[in-house]
Amino acid sequence: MKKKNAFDYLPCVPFFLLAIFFLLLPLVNTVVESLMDPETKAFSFINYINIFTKPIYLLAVWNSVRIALVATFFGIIISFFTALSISMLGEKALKSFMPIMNLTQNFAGFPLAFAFMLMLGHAGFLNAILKIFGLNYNLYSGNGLIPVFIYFAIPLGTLFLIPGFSAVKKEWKEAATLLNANGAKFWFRIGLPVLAPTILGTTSIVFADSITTYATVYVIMTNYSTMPLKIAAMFSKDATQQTELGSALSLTMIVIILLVMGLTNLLKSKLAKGVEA
Amino acid sequence: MNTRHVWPYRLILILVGITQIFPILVTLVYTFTTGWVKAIPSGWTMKNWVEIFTQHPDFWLSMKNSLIISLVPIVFSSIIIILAMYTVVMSCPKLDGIIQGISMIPFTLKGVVLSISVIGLYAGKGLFISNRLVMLICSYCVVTMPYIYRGIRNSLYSIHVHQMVEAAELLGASRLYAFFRVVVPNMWTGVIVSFLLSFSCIFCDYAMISLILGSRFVTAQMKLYAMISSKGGPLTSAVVIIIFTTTFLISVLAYQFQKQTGEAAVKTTEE
Repeated sequence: MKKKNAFDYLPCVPFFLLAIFFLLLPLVNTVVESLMDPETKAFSFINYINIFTKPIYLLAVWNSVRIALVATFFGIIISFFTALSISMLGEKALKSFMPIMNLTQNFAGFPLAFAFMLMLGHAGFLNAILKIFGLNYNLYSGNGLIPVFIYFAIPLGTLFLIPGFSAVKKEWKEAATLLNANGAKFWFRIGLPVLAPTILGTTSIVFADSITTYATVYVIMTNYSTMPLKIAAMFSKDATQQTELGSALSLTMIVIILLVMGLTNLLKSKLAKGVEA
Repeated sequence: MNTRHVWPYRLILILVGITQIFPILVTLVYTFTTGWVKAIPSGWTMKNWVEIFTQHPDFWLSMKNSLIISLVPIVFSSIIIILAMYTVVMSCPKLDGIIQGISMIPFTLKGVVLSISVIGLYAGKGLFISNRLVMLICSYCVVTMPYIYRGIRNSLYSIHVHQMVEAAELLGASRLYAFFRVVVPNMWTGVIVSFLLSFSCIFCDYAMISLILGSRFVTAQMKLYAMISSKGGPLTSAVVIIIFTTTFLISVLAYQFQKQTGEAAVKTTEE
């Protein structure tokens, strides 16, 4: 093999330049700013103290986390059964259902928000039908937003879960049947443990996607308090900029996402050990 | 499997399929109405479609803007990652771990958070990268990194790249030639899948472009936002359908292309 020299490393320079200037340095700067007193620019934890003591910021954190958790929970359950059904029905179901998932995965952001406003907004036709039965659906509330979040969690979750299901071998099912295990028993004793890492990984992806959602919420409820909306408002040129506080809120959001990722990874490694033993 | 056991799975897929398609269908039907606030639409018309195609050149300009702003960063990002993977394959396989680690960061650090970090550092500093358009394109490159890295790496794995390069070298090709004439053409599938995923990710972006660039460069998403917040009638739903169809058609086209190149690659290896 040829001796390596510095020239061989040249092609990867653009990649690292991009990563340094548009990932590492901005992130470092955000950390530094988040630890700066907005007035004196001195080192201080005041921004974080504000976020966790002032109700206005706590509400944003709570709203974001709550919606993301609930939507992820239901989104993953529905995705699980969808992927399960596809794997049980085989190749043909996969071929006919994948285009639907690919189609609806592209239906996000403003188009999605608009469609829901059309159906369930104040003048939505589904709401008009509900009113006949004396019911009313309030899309413009934290709970009202949850179905929108679940809607876009389904294609994402399903597309990430399907490869996991194909790892559950048909032969195992046959072997289990021969050993007298019924369908439910097979899934509880063999299928789910094998799938657990995929499910946990998908959960953290769907959670991160939900909690960072901006456009969908922004157009339905411009004044609703979630972390992405608050952060964007703090950097907007139309109002007084609060870059220090906004940086602290961004990092709070990142830490929440990392916590969920860490938790799912921890569970994953615990399960992996269980399988080995 | 007998039919008795199959129907619950069918039912699940049918229900999920219907609820997933329903909002899109409703939006489409709305474009043919004069209004729809009661249980059934108040009337039917083609007026909205005629109007959007004949009286709104500004919307079509915004579509063109969206296409340009999506394609440029994806091309850059693909080139940057292919070059980085060249180093990994040819000189330093250990680097792959680092590149993978970095490439996965934008899965979490994107959208609002990435934009405000970039703005916070560079805006108004008088540097080359303080230019808002440069900031946006570079940020988009970062955002597409996870998709492009994954697509390219997966295809590198699936084609036994080391054997391929060694074989080409044995036949007298230089490493550079071997990589770009033998390896890269076999990676097209991966590149196109990444292209497809990144495209819809940027084309549908509103958060980053509105934060970094403001309203100076009007994309289709901005136009759509303005329409939803001002009128929001059937004309808006026609815009929704056009934007949505564009994203979808591009992915369909890419899939078709992928299928073809996939078959071509198989044929060349068979020969």
